[in-house]
Amino acid sequence: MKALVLLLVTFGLLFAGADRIRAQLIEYLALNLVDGREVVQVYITNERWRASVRPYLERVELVDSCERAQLIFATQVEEIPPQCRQKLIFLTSYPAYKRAKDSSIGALFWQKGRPNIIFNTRKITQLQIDLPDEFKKYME
Amino acid sequence: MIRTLILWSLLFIVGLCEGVTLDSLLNRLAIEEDLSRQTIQESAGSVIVFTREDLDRMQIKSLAEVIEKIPFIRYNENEYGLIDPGYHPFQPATNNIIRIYVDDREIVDGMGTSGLQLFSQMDLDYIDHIEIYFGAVSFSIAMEPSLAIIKLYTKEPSRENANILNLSFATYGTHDFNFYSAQELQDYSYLLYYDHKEVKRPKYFVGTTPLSRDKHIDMVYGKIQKGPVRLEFNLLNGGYDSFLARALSLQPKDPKTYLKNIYTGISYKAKGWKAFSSLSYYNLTIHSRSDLVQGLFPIDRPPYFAPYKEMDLHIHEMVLDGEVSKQIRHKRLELLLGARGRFRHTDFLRNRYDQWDVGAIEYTGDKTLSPFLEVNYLFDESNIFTLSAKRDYVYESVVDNYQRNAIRIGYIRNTQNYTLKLFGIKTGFVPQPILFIEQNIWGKLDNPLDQERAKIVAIELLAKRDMDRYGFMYNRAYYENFIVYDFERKELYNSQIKQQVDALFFRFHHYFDPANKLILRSYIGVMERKKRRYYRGGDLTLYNQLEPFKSYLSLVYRSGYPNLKAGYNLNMALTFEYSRRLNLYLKGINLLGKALRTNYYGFDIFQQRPLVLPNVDVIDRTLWVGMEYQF
Repeated sequence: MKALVLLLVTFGLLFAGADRIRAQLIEYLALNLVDGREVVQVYITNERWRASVRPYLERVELVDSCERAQLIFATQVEEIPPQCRQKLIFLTSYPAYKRAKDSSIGALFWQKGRPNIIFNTRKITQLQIDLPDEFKKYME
Repeated sequence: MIRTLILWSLLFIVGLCEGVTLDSLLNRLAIEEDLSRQTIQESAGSVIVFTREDLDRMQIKSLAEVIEKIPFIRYNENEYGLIDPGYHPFQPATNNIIRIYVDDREIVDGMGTSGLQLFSQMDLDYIDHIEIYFGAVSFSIAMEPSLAIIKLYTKEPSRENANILNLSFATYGTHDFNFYSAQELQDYSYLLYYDHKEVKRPKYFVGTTPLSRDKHIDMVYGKIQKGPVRLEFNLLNGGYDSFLARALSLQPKDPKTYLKNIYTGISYKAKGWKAFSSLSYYNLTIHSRSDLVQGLFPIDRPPYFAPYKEMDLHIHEMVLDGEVSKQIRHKRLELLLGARGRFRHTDFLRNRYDQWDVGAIEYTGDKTLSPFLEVNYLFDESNIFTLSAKRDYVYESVVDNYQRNAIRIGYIRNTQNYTLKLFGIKTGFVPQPILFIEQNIWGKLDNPLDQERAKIVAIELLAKRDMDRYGFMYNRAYYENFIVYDFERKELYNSQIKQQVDALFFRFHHYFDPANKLILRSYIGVMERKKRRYYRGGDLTLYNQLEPFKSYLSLVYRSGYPNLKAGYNLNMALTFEYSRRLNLYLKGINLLGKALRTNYYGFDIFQQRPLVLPNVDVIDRTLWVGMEYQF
């Protein structure tokens, strides 16, 4: 019976919509980057993206101000109020990430027609974030 | 026992599916966000999609690999060694049965023929995904009528953000080098692509005469996008060894074709408005000679034709294209209104047969104006009625003008589990300009050609269940007024024989998980002309991923072609992702050497007997190795 439930759940995930998968990605990243929390507070600068993933988040609380967030998703650093620029920042544009490598711990962006992830090795080491093994191949 | 079996089966299937990992989430997002999901128009006909991921795994080397998978169509080449799916000796080219669009522009060769021949050998590394529409295709997809429309979508700079170098080498000395750079910058994005390709193919011999189909192609493509405006350009320089050319003796001496093409276009897309304008220039040279008879040329005294040994053709052509359309949505009504215009001017700089130069040919071009309309009415969320109509005004420079009406009507029912599509279309095919030139040479322009006509009805049922997708299509088509060449009378004419084609198409997709899938396609076509003929075909394709490897395996089957054995084409590709920046790959085409072949025919005019060059491979048995590096 358990196998059947697992099968149905897995099938459900396989063809989920893009918004649901983006929400899962955010949750997966947040829970692995912010240590020891049951629920992680996340701030997303892009309003449309924020609205589209909100219904699917379970262990991530979307907050309306960057001050309350542990992790920030932004297209570029300039969108983030100066007082929050020392927090964990994850960018969603590759050109912006290249411009602001010192400010972000990584980026989620499109490259070669696919969604890609990069973790900023220097920043991750500096902040002593312990990444799971499966994340290591994305470190640059 | 049964419970154990069920449990093992479930565990096996679950094992095939990926758990939730970063990799799997990225894989799923790639599928959900694939660009084809944004561009596909299910209401436009039956459609087969090759996604970005599919093309990457195929390590696709030319459009030929996709064409051979279109139901009811085989990959075939004419006596010039260029693609012609319905090639029949001594008959007009049929490459217009497939039309090619890159984004929204139609690719045409010089002389108004489909860009299939121009495009079929090119590398596709600047293409993101491919959609193939067939059955009764909507005018919103393509203005020109045809049996299949291939839509190629160029890579989207905002999804690339990379500089890619691709190098590959193949058997016989074929090699390809291409590079593209695509970036999204502050307020604009660009894609720049360059390709150099040398295609070396196995030689055939007739007597001691070598027959070559080697080609070299240089191409540059670029596009810049800023908001709703896009500028693009394309430069092409190609040189082709022309195989048999049109040598009746089957022994031409080093025939050559050279083509230069410059294209530039601008398009605008916003708020329901779509507009584009483009300008193309073609410079085409064909030269062919033989120590024996090359062909026949008309003269003004009995027997009114004479053999020639050398022909030389040089054409310049300019094509100005434009289209504007507006989409209006009002409650349940969706309306697309537009018009397209094309102006073509052709100069025959040289048209020489031995010492006879007929350069001052009468054909100088044509103008076409096509207003069109498409109406979609949504009865409710599940039921859509669609109607489209188009009228072409074709002003030819040397023959009667043509007015072509085309109408398409359809109904679509879309539920969570299945989609039903019903379409009917009535259209005509205006003769290609190249045919007027043939007629002109033979002094037969006083015998104008009528347009070919077609009526097609198609019904398609698509169903989904868990990880499976099923599709079933039935298609009946009536064709009349076929343009054929009469070898005795040495002229083209409209055949009075009507042709009926019935076709059944079945497809099945099974997803083991988002990264692993199996596709099965199968068809049978029944053609009734003078006698009944059955065409069968299909393909079985597997796309797999087992990190760091990605693989592609495909078997294509075709049968029913007169005097030819059934063909099996086994293709495979294996990509090794060495790192995020470097991929290495191995690819094999026609690995069994059993793909469908072709016979070529000539004629010995002195001994009055046919000549044949049998069983020529049109899909060469080829092995590629290559690398892709991102920097």
